[in-house]
Amino acid sequence: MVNLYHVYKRYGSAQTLSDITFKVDKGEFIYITGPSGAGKSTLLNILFCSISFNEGQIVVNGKNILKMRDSSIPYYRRDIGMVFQDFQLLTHKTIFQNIGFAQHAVGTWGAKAKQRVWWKLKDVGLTTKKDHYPLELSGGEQQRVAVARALINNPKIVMADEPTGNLDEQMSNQIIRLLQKANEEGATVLFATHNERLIENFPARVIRLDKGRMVE
Amino acid sequence: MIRQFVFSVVEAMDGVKSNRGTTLLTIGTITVSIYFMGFFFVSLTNLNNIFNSLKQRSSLVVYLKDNRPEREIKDLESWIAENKDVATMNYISKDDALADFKKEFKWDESVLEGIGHNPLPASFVITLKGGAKNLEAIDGIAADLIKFKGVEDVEYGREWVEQLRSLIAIARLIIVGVGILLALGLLFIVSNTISLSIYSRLDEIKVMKLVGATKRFIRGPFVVEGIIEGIIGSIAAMIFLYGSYLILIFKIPESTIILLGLQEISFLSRATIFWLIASGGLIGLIGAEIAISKVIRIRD
Ligand SMILES: Nc1ncnc2c1ncn2[C@@H]1O[C@H](COP(=O)(O)OP(=O)(O)OP(=O)(O)O)[C@@H](O)[C@H]1O
Ligand SMILES: [Mg+2]
Repeated sequence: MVNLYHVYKRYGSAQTLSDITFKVDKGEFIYITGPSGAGKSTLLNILFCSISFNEGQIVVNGKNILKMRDSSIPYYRRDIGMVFQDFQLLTHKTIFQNIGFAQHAVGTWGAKAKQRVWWKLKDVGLTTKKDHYPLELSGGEQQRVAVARALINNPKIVMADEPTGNLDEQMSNQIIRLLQKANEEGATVLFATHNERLIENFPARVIRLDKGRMVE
Repeated sequence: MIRQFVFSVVEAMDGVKSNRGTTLLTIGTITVSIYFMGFFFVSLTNLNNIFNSLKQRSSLVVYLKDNRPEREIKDLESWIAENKDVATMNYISKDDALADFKKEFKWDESVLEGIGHNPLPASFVITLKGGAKNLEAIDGIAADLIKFKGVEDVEYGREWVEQLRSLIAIARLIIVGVGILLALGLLFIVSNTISLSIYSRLDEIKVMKLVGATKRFIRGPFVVEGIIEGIIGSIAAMIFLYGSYLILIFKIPESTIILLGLQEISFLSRATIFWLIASGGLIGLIGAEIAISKVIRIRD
């Protein structure tokens, strides 16, 4: 599902990623871990086509992302659900509208879109808060909205970049369970975190980076 | 498709609301610019009408010397009558000329008092076939006529027509030049306004990219915003221009209009109005595209 061959990324003279080679199979759940500055976010952003890389090859979901045309990127991204540490919700839209917006942006409108938003809100347990604005919610609730948004279009891959970074343990556990559930339903999950306790509590395969190199 | 369009319009309205001042300023600038373009077009249309009517009316007047033998006048008359370019010929004797003059200045007979004799010359008034389209022909005929012994002078409107013709050519150049400058200025202003609108909604754009919205979808609201600004601006310009036109025709005395050989002062044709409004919309569209291509990239 995700294949990297000798990937290098430089910022100026700083070597941010060096010789990254790994493979994630369909339906796997993996952690990408390592200390701050190791290159976890950089790696996920490369996989999402938000930033470029300097050397190597990357094939995701059967697509060579080096050769991908700009016009194909949106369609490529529809198969990837993204969750960030800072939620990235639209503060001037309600919870319902936030998730609905993700539907409209890919061309789903009307009753069908509403129904899907409703089901996802139910999955993350937030139907009662649907008309609230993000800033009226706790951090854990906001992150559940972001997860619902990431999952609304049934992505093949879910990438989470430190999604529990701003949350306490109980809320973190809720988030990871939601991602595990998506994984059980078929999604491949890439979970970037430096929270070792989380990895101990919910064990899975680990890719460990340090200063841009793979150490595990 | 329709949903997406509605979405774009709703979002564009949001953009307009959140940047109300800048949007109004932009629309105002478009209005003023298109107003000037329209003004130039109105002037050109009417100059053209004046030109055409002068061409129609252009005639030669051959003034005759006093006290010349009858034969000379007869010769001249038959030469004119046989010329193939001549459409009509009218002989005005000294007495006729005086009568005309008196009729025209009946309010002031004193003008001629004190002069013992009739100072006005006899003349032939000639109009040419096809008006003055053939300016060379007029020149030739005038040159031939002046050679006749009994001819004092030949007067014709060639200079007038020529001057008007070059005035129209200059007016056309000005319209093209000013049009290009205004268009460039407007593009700059519109693209800046749309950029502001884009910046004020970078969060939404980020989310759109995150969930896989196409570039077309992302730009929709901004393109609509640009087109709305362009069209509203140019429609306002047309309304103001028509208002000015009404005031103008109210102020210009009818005699001036007749003197210019016009039936009326014309406003823009419907086609020109349509194209001016469309070009306002087009400037909005291109301005938006410029802003979008500068600010929105899919690969980030
Ligand atoms: N735009 C950039 N320009 C220059 N250097 C950058 C840029 N983005 C990231 N870096 C550098 O790349 C390295 C890896 O950064 P990255 O954000 O991928 O680390 P991370 O593993 O996600 O860290 P954290 O756990 O703190 O989120 C860092 O040294 C960072 O300074
Ligand atoms: Mg990071």
